[in-house]
Amino acid sequence: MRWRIGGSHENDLPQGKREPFRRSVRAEKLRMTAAKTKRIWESFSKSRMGMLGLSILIAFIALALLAEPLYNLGLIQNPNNVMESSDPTQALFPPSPEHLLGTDERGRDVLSELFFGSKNSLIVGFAAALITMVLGAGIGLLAGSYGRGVDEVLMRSTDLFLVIPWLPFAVILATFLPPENKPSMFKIIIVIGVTSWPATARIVRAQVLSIRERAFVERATAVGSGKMHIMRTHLLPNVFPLVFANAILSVSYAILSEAFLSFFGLSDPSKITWGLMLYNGFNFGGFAHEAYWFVLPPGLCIISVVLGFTFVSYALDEILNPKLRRR
Amino acid sequence: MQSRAILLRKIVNLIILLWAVWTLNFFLFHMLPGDPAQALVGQRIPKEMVDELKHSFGLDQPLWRQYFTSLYSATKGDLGYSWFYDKPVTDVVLYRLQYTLLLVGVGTIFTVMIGVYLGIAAGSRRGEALDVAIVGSSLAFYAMPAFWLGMILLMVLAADLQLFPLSGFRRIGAIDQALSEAIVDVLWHMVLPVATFVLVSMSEFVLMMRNALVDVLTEDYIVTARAKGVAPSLIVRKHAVPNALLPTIATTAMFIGWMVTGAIMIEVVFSWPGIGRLTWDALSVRDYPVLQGIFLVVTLAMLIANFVADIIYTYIDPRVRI
Repeated sequence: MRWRIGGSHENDLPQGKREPFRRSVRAEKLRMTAAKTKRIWESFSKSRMGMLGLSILIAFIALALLAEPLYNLGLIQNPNNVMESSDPTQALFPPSPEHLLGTDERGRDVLSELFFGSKNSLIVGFAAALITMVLGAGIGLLAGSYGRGVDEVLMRSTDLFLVIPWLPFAVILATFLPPENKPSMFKIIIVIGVTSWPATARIVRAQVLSIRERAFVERATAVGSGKMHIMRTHLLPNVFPLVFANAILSVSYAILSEAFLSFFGLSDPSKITWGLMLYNGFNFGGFAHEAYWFVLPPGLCIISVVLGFTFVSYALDEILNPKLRRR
Repeated sequence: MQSRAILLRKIVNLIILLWAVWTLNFFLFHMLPGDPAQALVGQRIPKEMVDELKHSFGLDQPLWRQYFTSLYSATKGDLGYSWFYDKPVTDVVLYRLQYTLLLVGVGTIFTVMIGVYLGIAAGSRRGEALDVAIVGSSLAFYAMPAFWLGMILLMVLAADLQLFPLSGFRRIGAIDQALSEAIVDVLWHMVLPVATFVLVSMSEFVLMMRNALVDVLTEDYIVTARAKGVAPSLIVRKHAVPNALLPTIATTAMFIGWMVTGAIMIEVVFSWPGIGRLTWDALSVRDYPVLQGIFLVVTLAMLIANFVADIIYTYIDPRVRI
């Protein structure tokens, strides 16, 4: 074990006082984080764009959360259960009091599909964005804090992933990843996650490079803090707001990407998403029969949610990134 | 002298990237669980025949030898053989690539022209109604899946109002059209796919150009020009736009991938016989070599496009050369 001065001051304290001191440090940190969050929220709530985006998102999250309870109450169908919800005699019926948004090519209720579609599309979006965030932030942090060889290798591979045309690559991945030829939601999440981290990695690396030069990091190095310790306690908290704003944006990319992959028939047909609805609409008659009620709603949902995430991310970026503030 | 060294370094970089993409693709294919040959021909073919097939394709060789053999043939332009089309993959993909290049080429010209024009219109009237309208609609098109917009345009303009043909590249059964007639026919079929392409890819340019212009308009030299009494329209056109164009052009290369993705989906909706439609067909018959060929050829095309954009930018902006 190397002897270190920095890292924690608690080493200087007598044995008995260590616990309360640690607790008070923790309380102070918590108080500071809360104050910072409150400040950000105060500026955010003044941004009209941000609040519009946030209310759109809350509406869709509510839609997604209501899917199961409404089904349990018997108000809507569960279109994921194809056998139970299909009724071929009712295929492609226009909107009526019984089916407020009409029916699809199997006679399923389009409104019910929207409820369950919101749920699955949002799950894919959030899960894929989480992978993007972890991979992007991790690689960006490593590249930025280690420099030299590590940086070179990581950034070259980031460049490689940046130039690869997304759709053909994602199509190949989705077909080749095991289990082969079996579409699944999990696979779609993985494919989107591992193809979209490079942009995040670049942004994080650039930010790390600038933070690394600041005095407090230098001081930490001077007192002997290790690379890992600096990364965890000094760099990560400082890049986190940026990573967060970026992750929100990647949710919208992930939802669009899911729709693209579904449109190529690569998603699980028993898990309704907005993309799958459009795929069904295009391939099984909805499109040829001009079933507007079937084709319009999923597209409008995608547009609203993507805009919602974009607005929130933009408003956050404006608060967290002083350079972007209006001159 | 120095610029030649930079060019050389960029070419070397391009070749390394190409090799890396090719290697990635090779190992992805060999990651297939189980027997790739068996997966390709199906389960009902007897094992002896599969072994014979594997031998004739060299799939029974050790992996490193396969790697170098196929790398060698790839440098000669051989990307394997399509089971479905019964032709070399390179032939199939390159033939279809022409149609995609036509769509993307014409579409990009319109995209850049209209996008930059609207960006200037919005940026020079920051905060006014026109600015809000342009930015708002750009955002809406940016959030739109390309294939969905294509479907809506087809349903409204082609199926309902019957203003445009429903699908394809030319009229069905068009064999002995005169040249002029054929050109009109093709142009007629291009209207909707190109319009969809322009609408979904334009927003990036509009927003980029607008923001660059808004930024430039706050610079000191603009204030000087204004103080001198230069007409506002002249300030925008002569002083601000040329400088605002630079970052817009520089980022064009970044959108190429996004635009190709859009084009691929648009082709599927409009049955345009390009790369996108080929992807769709190859997926439905599980023609893996063609899928890989598409991936490699599109990557190559994008790398070249990036390279050209880089060179053009160096030429336009002398600051980059130093």
